Amino acid sequence: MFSIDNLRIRKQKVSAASFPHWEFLAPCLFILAVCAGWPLLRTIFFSFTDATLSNLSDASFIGLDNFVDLARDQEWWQAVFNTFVIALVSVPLETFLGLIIALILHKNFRGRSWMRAIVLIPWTIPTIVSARMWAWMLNDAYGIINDLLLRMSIIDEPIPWIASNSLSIVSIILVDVWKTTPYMALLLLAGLQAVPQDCFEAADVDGIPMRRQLTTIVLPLLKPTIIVAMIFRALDAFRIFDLVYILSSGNSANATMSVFARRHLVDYADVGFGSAAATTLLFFVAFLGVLYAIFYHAKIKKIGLD
Amino acid sequence: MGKWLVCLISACCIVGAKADNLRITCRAKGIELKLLKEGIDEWIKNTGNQHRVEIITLPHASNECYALYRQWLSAGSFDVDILQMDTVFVGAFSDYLLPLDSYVSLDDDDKDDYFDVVEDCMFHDDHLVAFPIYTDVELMFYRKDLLQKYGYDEPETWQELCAMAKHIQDEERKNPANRNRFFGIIFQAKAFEMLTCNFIGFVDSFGGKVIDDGHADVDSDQCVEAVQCMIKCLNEISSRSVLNYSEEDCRGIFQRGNAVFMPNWPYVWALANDPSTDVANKIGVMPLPAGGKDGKRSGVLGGWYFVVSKYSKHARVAADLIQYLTSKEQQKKRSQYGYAPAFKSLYKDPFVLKHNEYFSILYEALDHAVARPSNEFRENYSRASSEIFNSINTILAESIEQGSTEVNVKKRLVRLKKKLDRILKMRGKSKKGGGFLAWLKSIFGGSSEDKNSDNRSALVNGD
Repeated sequence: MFSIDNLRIRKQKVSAASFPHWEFLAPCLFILAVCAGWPLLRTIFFSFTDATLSNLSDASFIGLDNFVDLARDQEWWQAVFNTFVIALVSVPLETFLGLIIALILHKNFRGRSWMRAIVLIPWTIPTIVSARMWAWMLNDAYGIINDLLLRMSIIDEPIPWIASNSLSIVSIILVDVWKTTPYMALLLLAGLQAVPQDCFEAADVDGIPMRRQLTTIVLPLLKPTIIVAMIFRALDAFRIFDLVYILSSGNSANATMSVFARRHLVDYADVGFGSAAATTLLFFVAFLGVLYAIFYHAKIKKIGLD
Repeated sequence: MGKWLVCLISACCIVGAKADNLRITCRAKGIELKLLKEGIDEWIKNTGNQHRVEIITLPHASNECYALYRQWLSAGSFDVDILQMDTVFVGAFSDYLLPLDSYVSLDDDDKDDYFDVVEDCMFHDDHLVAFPIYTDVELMFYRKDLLQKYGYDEPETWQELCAMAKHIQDEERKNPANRNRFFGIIFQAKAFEMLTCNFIGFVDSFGGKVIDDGHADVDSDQCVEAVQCMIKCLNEISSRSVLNYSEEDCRGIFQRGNAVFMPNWPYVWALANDPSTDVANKIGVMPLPAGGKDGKRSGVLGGWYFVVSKYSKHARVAADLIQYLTSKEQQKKRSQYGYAPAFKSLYKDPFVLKHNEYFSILYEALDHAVARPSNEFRENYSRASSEIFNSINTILAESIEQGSTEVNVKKRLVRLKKKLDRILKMRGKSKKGGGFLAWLKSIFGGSSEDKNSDNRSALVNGD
């Protein structure tokens, strides 16, 4: 996906034909503007009003009041905290596990292409379905996980995985890791395939052990890909919603930012305040997007200098 | 502009899905869906109506139904004609309901026959807006056989219930098959509407009140006692997982014979007595116990209604259908599955009593049922309810994590009281800022004048 060769070629092409073909882009841009741009602008607009669901058209402009209220809201900061915990724990875990899987899948073995497809399965199941599935498996009265642990005498009494506040965050992270590790593996595998094969051959000739090859060849060459992949995942992790919605008791103590925004937007019909929360969430994500752009830019520059 | 978009999109959907269909929402809980299908088939057969009726199923949790209706109705969606609504919804959505007076007429006899609490809910500003499908009151289900086995009578107070449940739980767990899977009581403590109901039931049986004289009173001694009783139930005689259980989760555990007590709605009676369950014919039922000798037996009022959306394009047919579906005959038919009729006279009907020997208990429970404070909170009810279930769920969760004795219940309840008081005040809230939109509108064709004041009455009159 982010192969170095590709980038080099693309860069040449772009400079050769820098004329942007608007007529080709127009349909796509139009659809984006209608499906993403308009709702986005509307949400930002509502965040400065006191709109409620039943009176969207009569909303009046109240400046930054919603954002001030948001900053004072303890539950919001709890949600921000929860979101960061989930993102900061799950993304590195997924990267680590994804890297291991990518390294294995990079090796030549029988049935490799089958394995590559199979590994992706958790990622292809719609999140709401897998979340429901895990909720059943983690249930302490009839869940299979507690049953197995009990039968193996690892635990004495069932663990309330998704009922207790502290454990449900652990469950959410575990399921998130289960679900998105394949995605990370896929991104990293693409990066691995772009690492020039002759480096490895030369290392083999010199008799350098695998472990050193990993730390001196693979990781440094893969670093830009890893960083970009991690930022990609973090963008996703910050707006985590479905897993939290299904796997927690619905208590605000383990809500994330998007759950918080939904509660105010829909349950409380407070469109103004909910939009303010959603807009703030957007800024968190946009900040990461900017980070991504900076790294991406730096990468291109580095390649250009080579 | 936004509304236009929504209308455009829904118009496309409707054209795509046959414009003539009458759409009705239904909760797929228990056998409600099956009963509704049968009712509609009968209606088509009896009236020879050519309309195709399409059923849209709703989420299990009632606060999620509420959220869904909020989205549909505020978008002015006309793809739903008939909505199934909870007691507390009817008031909150009154602006969107079609007054039915001009389409159907209500017999005087029938009118007098409704329970007063039900009739209060059917009318809004003297207009008939809702028809009750069945009424509901939270009851305590228990295992008759187990109580007999250990020589107990029906408990009258929560204290008796706890002691009884603890003893039975300890004894039953000696059976290795039940080791960690048998509980004294299973109740709904997931952070959703039912926890609010349970809290109100507990508070009422301890003699407390959620709202007293226009102010929240959830930090009273009775409320603290009630919450402490909930904590005791959770930590001593229940599963910690109830913190994530809704009605159907609880029914599952109870039906498999893994619990002695369970508060739930009457629909459970028929389902749990089905021969395929492990507890058929072993169940007893009673009103919620009192909180000590000075407390009162209680029950939380529920019940579901059919209403017609004011955006419906098939108002006449829709009104006709819901009157048919909620008629005495239909309620009588439903009653054999445990759905409590909203007509008082049906509680003396031999057919109804034959299927539900416990209906005398239900009649009694309905008599001193406590309503949720939706009249006080009105359109902010869902926010208030959500504050309540959040706080109680947090208190209960903390009691597990920190050991039940260390939780500062009083402190949490004082905080809840402050929040509820703030929500009560929100009702009279005037607009905060200077109308930026009004200003915009005045530039682009000032049609918005006086919309604020007229909107409401226009909506109520349903034109």
